[in-house]
Amino acid sequence: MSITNVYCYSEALSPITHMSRSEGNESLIAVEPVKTEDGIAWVPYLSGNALRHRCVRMPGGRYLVERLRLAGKLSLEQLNFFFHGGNLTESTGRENTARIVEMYRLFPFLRLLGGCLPDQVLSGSLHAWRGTLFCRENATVIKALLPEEWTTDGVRFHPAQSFISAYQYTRSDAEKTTPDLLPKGAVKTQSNLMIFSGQAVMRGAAFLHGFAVLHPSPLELGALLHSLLLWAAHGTIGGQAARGHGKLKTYLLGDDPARADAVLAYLDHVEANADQAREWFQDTFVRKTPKKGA
Amino acid sequence: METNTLPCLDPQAFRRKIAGLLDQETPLTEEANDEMRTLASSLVCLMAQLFGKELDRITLWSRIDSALKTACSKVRDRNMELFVNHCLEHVKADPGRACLSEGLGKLLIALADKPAEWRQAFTRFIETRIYAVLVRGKEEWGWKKLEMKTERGEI
Repeated sequence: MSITNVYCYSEALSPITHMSRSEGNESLIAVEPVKTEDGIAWVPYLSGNALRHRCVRMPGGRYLVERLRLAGKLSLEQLNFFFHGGNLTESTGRENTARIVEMYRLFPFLRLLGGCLPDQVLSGSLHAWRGTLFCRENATVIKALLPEEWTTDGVRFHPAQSFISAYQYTRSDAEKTTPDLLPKGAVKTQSNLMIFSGQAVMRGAAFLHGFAVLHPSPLELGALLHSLLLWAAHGTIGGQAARGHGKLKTYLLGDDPARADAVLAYLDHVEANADQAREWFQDTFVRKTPKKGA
Repeated sequence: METNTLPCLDPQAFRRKIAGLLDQETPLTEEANDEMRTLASSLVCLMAQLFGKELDRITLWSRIDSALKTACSKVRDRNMELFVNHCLEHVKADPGRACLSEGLGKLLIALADKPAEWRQAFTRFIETRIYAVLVRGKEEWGWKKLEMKTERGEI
């Protein structure tokens, strides 16, 4: 089986708040247990699910919707298919090989990610890895994940704990900030200032993450790399992006000139097949009319 | 977008990148941690001793707590004299009493002798264990008061 691995090195340009849960008004970042020589340590990570969605599906899907001029013309069902993988909604599933072949031909991006049409589950070829923090506890994992020539032998990273910082914000109260806009004689209420705080992985920390694409064509690889490029330009990871969190600077490990060609080939492919792609998309999601008497 | 792919790193550039994530410092020993515990307690005890007369004594421990937090936030360059100074200013310590404090002199000498990584670890130690530091400092202050009363012949 041919597999193409795309390795990414992402350094945090702002605090990264990939949350797991809230306790009171404090958000706690996602941590996972890691076996180390000194026992089990809990280390921040980025989930493969979040990376797949934010770095690939969302930017790549948006690009297609805009390029195919589908904005405003898609149903909720279609949008869910594009941006969240879709759902089986029909009572009887089926295996329409011709339709799969056509979809894979027209949409390298959807071949990459797969998804659920109303009556058919389609596998994708993209495996997203988890984001692994460069820290002492993950040293063995990082060494195992990287290709041989990218050695980290003999280095001693800072412990994970030293990359965790905290933030605190206050949500103000309109009674304090815009009292002039309140109706005259409005009843004064108790102050409603909300303090919310949490943990974050600090600026300057770095994650190793990446993607494995199973027996890819250059077009799929191009779709992946193009999505990553869009995400790197405008996207974030984790929460609190409204307050400047979640920005990563991402580098690909290794220089392969075929990557740029793959992206160009993908963009040409989208342009050349736009009409057919639009038709396929509209035909596939035509709602079946119920039979008489049903 | 200027290019068609993300920027790339070769193995050498990668090594340079991760060099910024490496821990070059010698790990602190258990003895070093014990010493930090002792000196942090001494600092808290000194703040209680030199607590400004114009402040309400009822606020003693919350004021010392905020003194430590403020000093940790303000001093990021491992400057221990500045750190102690911020603490004492926050509790409005009288300069005259501070000059006469033998404990303060000893503390400043002890902190000045430490290597840079120890000093950085010290502020981190206080910042991350604030309650334990306060409790131990309060206990030391209790013993100190007893000692002072004994010296004055009150006991």
